[in-house]
Amino acid sequence: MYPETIRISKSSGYACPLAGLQIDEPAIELGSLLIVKFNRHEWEFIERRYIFKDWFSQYNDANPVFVYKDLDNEADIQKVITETDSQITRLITAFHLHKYGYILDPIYTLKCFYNNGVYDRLVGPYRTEYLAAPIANLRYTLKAEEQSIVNGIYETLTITEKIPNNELVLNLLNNFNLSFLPTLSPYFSLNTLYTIIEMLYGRISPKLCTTTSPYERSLAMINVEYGLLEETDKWQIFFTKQIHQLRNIVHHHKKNNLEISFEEAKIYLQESIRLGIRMLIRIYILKSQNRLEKITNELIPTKLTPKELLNIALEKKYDGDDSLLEKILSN
Amino acid sequence: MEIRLLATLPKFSIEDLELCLTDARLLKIPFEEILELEAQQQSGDYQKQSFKYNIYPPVFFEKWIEVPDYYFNSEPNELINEMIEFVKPYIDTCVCAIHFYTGIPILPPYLSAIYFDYRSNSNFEKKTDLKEQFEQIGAYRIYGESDKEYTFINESLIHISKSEFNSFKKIYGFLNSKLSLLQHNELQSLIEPCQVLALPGIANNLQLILLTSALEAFLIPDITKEINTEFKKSFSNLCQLKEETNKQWLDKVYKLRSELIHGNNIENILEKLPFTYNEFLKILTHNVITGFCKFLQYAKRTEEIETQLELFRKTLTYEENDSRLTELLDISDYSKINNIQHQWNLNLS
Repeated sequence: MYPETIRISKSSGYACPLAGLQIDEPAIELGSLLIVKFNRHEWEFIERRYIFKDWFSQYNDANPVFVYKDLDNEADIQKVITETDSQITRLITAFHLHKYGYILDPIYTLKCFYNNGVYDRLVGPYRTEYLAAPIANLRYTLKAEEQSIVNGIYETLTITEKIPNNELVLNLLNNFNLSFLPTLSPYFSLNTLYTIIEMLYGRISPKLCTTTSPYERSLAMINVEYGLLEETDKWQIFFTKQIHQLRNIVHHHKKNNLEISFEEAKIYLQESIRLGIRMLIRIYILKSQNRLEKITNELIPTKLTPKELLNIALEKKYDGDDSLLEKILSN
Repeated sequence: MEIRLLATLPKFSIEDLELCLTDARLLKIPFEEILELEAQQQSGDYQKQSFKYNIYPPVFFEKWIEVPDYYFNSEPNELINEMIEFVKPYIDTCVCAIHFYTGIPILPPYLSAIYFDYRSNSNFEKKTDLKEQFEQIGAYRIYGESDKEYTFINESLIHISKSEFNSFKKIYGFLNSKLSLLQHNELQSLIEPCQVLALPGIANNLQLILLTSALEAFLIPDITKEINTEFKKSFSNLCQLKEETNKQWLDKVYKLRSELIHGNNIENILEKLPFTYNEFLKILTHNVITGFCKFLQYAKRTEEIETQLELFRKTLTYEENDSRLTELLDISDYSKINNIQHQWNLNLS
């Protein structure tokens, strides 16, 4: 399975592990990045034996995946690295927006750069996670059929980054990515998610006279994806009853006396946020292409910001009217 | 029995070989001693490590601690997590002291290597096989997610020079005297958002949200109306800022946070500040830290922390010339009472 020769450039290259990611293929292309599995020789070559011996025997079990780029000596290497880093961050965000799973940006683990004898590496505080996480069953498994979805999200993010006045989306994404970091306390992690809920579904201008709460709109977002839920469904109970109580528990740092663990609540909140951000991005893009007013004018006469439109559409959904959401989703 | 706790302090350095604190030390240890703790022999690989180690020597927090005898009755390392819990308050106090003194949060030592060295005459007398055990397996130890990275190569980011040792000792002593308060969940939840800033790649906007969230939870956790005004009043009283230039940035703190949450562009506000965004965040960080220190000075170990926080918060809402506020600020003035200075107050040129 693992060729015993070094296939990557020995003179100039840039390699970063994507901790947690597991793929079946030896190499794939995602976004504009080449993602490969190194054999052990290649791994030792890029790590230059900085890794500690204890990990040698576990390399194949960890089966880690790396972003790899050959560096052309003629190119502005620093520029290439900066570009690659922002592509990697965008790809990690695309993974988070695609589905739940454990994956870490190499800024927290390791980045290795070598160029004609000069060797440099940037080490993060979760340096060994690309080896340890898969062994501890902390993974982000990407099937072949999911690659096109992640590529689609990646492209959408590339477009969104260029849209003017996109601060809300960028801040949401930064916070969302932060909520996935390991070793944050459950309180802090949930607190971050409640802040995102507020950013995404809260603080709507009073002139819009909304009648639903941010939590009801976050439930409506879940309903868009999964349909209406039974009263007894765990998700329904969370978004209608426990979400308020949990917020107070988190806010005041009290003991969790609810019938839902922090970890489970985190997944529910992350899911509503994941879907909400994706919908918001869709609206931003429609707006930047001047297609939004045409879609919404007949249903909503007022000029709305993308966030307001998202929330009005979710309010309508909550009240049983899918027309506005369908218009947005069909474009 | 006793153990010598050695916790790696990632990306931290001191000018000298050691910095003696009242009940502990920050110190550099020779590479040969690391090999002993790891029960390793000199080899080609370790020669290379030794070279790097000596260029970027790590600094350890060292403290001798009395521990229950049963730690030594079970299999080695079996109770390592319990041992970590046992020493956590001491490590956290040191981490907090470095953060609060320099204004820069340090990566938690739990992400690196922590050693429990049990070599001592009294231990060897009590349990005769310990000496042989140490030679075979070394110290009890645990490696965090960065393994031995910062223990073997520790390029530093935070530095304390020899001339600052006394200032650092004072803040460590102050926090050490508040050890039980610092461990309280409610205070930990205020400090954690600030410590997250130790991680790489936290964008400026996210830093601002984290710092203001910490302040909001600290000062006005139950306020739902006129948040901006209430925040400004409490924070202004807490910081005791008199000069107009200082009030300029204070006015903007919560406004910036609100604009970010609403998804509005903040460049117009930032342009009007008399300093850059980075400087603004630094000033904000320093004021958050001094705010926490003021509460710690004010709070008494013996009373319920929730009640004390409530009273502290309430007093901060009084008018500037209210005697109750003046009295609170007198009691909480840790810099006058304990003669504490932070690194950013010192002229280090």
